[in-house]
Amino acid sequence: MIQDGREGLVAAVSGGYDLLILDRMLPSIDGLTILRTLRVAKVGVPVLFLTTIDGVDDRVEGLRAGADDYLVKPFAFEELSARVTALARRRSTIPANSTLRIADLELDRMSQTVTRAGKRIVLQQKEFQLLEYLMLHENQVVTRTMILEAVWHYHFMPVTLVVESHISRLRRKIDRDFGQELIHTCRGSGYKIGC
Amino acid sequence: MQRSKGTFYALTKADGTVLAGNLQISPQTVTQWHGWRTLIQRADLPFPPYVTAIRGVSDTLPNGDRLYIAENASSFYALNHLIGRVFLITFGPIILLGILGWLLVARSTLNRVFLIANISREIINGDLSRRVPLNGSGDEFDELSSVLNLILDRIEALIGNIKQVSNDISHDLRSPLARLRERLELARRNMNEVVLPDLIDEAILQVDTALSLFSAMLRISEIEAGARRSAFCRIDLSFLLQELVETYDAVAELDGKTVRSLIPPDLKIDGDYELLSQMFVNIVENAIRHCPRGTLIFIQAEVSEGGRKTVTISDNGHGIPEADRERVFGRFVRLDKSRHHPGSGLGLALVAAIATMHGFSIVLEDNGPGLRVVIEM
Repeated sequence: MIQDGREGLVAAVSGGYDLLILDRMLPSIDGLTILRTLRVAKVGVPVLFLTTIDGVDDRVEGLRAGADDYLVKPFAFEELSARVTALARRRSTIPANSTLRIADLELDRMSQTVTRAGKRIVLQQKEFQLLEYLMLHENQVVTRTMILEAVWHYHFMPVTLVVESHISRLRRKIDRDFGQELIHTCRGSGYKIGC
Repeated sequence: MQRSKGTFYALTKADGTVLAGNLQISPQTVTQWHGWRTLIQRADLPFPPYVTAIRGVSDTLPNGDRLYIAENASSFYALNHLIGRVFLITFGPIILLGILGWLLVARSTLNRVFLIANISREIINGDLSRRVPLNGSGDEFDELSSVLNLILDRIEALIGNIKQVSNDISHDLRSPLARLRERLELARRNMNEVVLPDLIDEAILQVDTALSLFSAMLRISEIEAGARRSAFCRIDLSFLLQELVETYDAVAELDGKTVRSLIPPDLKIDGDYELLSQMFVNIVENAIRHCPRGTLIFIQAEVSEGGRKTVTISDNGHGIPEADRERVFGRFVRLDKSRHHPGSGLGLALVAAIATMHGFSIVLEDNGPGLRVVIEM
């Protein structure tokens, strides 16, 4: 943990980090400038902004500057932990082919088809995108907020159970009648797909 | 002086004594006349009655005598005189009127400048409701004044907005903080009890409520300040609405309600995708949360002949009494019926702010039974 912008920039450029968690308001050099400098210097390390600056334009600005994720303070610790895990694993798990596979569940990203145990399952658009997102993060906990941002592009909190209702529909289609449950609820933090 | 139709001449001595000629010339004239001159009839220059002016030249001869030769210049003189008078009669009044008009215009211009300056001073002194009066002529000053008034309207609205936000903070943020304090006190007294985790969870819930109120209010202010108009682009309204229907049909189903739609393809509008999503989400979530089981929520988009798009979100629930239909768009307005539902009372205020920012009109109507939200774009 480095408390100062200039020192942080020097440390980040010298390398050796798997992931940077960056605040926007820092002494000497602000986070946005640090990130832009890093990206200009071709330092591609994943960066997560963790900040109180939460205007809609501010988030867009942060992501345009090259941030991989943007989390607003105050946050739940599970939220940060899930996002850090997702970012750190992302580089190694970009699938080479268009088919995602977990146990006997298969999702073809090109033809947009899903089968389980060889049986074709018809999903609606959002259900498909949700399953795709879960499968891209196999065995990782993804939070409701992460799902809302990735699948719905909602950067606000709906008051109704948007994620829960779709998970429930998805479970009915891909888990019920197949014996082994693949979608797991992690109490208090989110969902996970895996054996 | 002899009668002569046109030419006059005289020969004088150096002292002015006339030696010869038909021009009677006085010694006084002699001293004044050098080179070319025009002479007008006067007492010491008796011209024949038909001559009013002559024009001629004087020359000094080698022996010192002076020779004067002149021609009748009466007609030139008369013409000159006439032109002068005509000029004076025609242009005199025009110039006079011009000067008068200029004075008047300058006076009224200066008066209006002073008026604007005075009103500006009153506004600086704190009376933000003052406006520059228009005289309805549509001239440059009216144009300037109306632009100035628009600026003032905007400033007044922004300042009102700030006041509103501070009021809201003092009133509505206190309650979750007060409840938080109460939970913490309870927890302090029950340090070793099994209820402690529950009390802490409740405290976290109150903090989250306060935080979400904060972000909702900041968001409304951000939108009302118009800061996000830069993010406007051409968006596919049909796609946005279809995703909304698919998403909220799943949500409604959990609650025993249904979402159906009638949306023509390829409706395009200019706007901010994220904010418009939020606007529709808030309206549909309101319907889902406040309607009884079995309610049908219907989302319809239409295009009028003039190309105006209308989105109608209707339900067959309990509806909202007519007296409350305007009021519910205000901040922290919660109808008694919905007091027991969770919610901030900011959802429709945010909807109104987003609609206003996009230049949409939004009205609540009776759906007989139920509520119909009509958004005209």
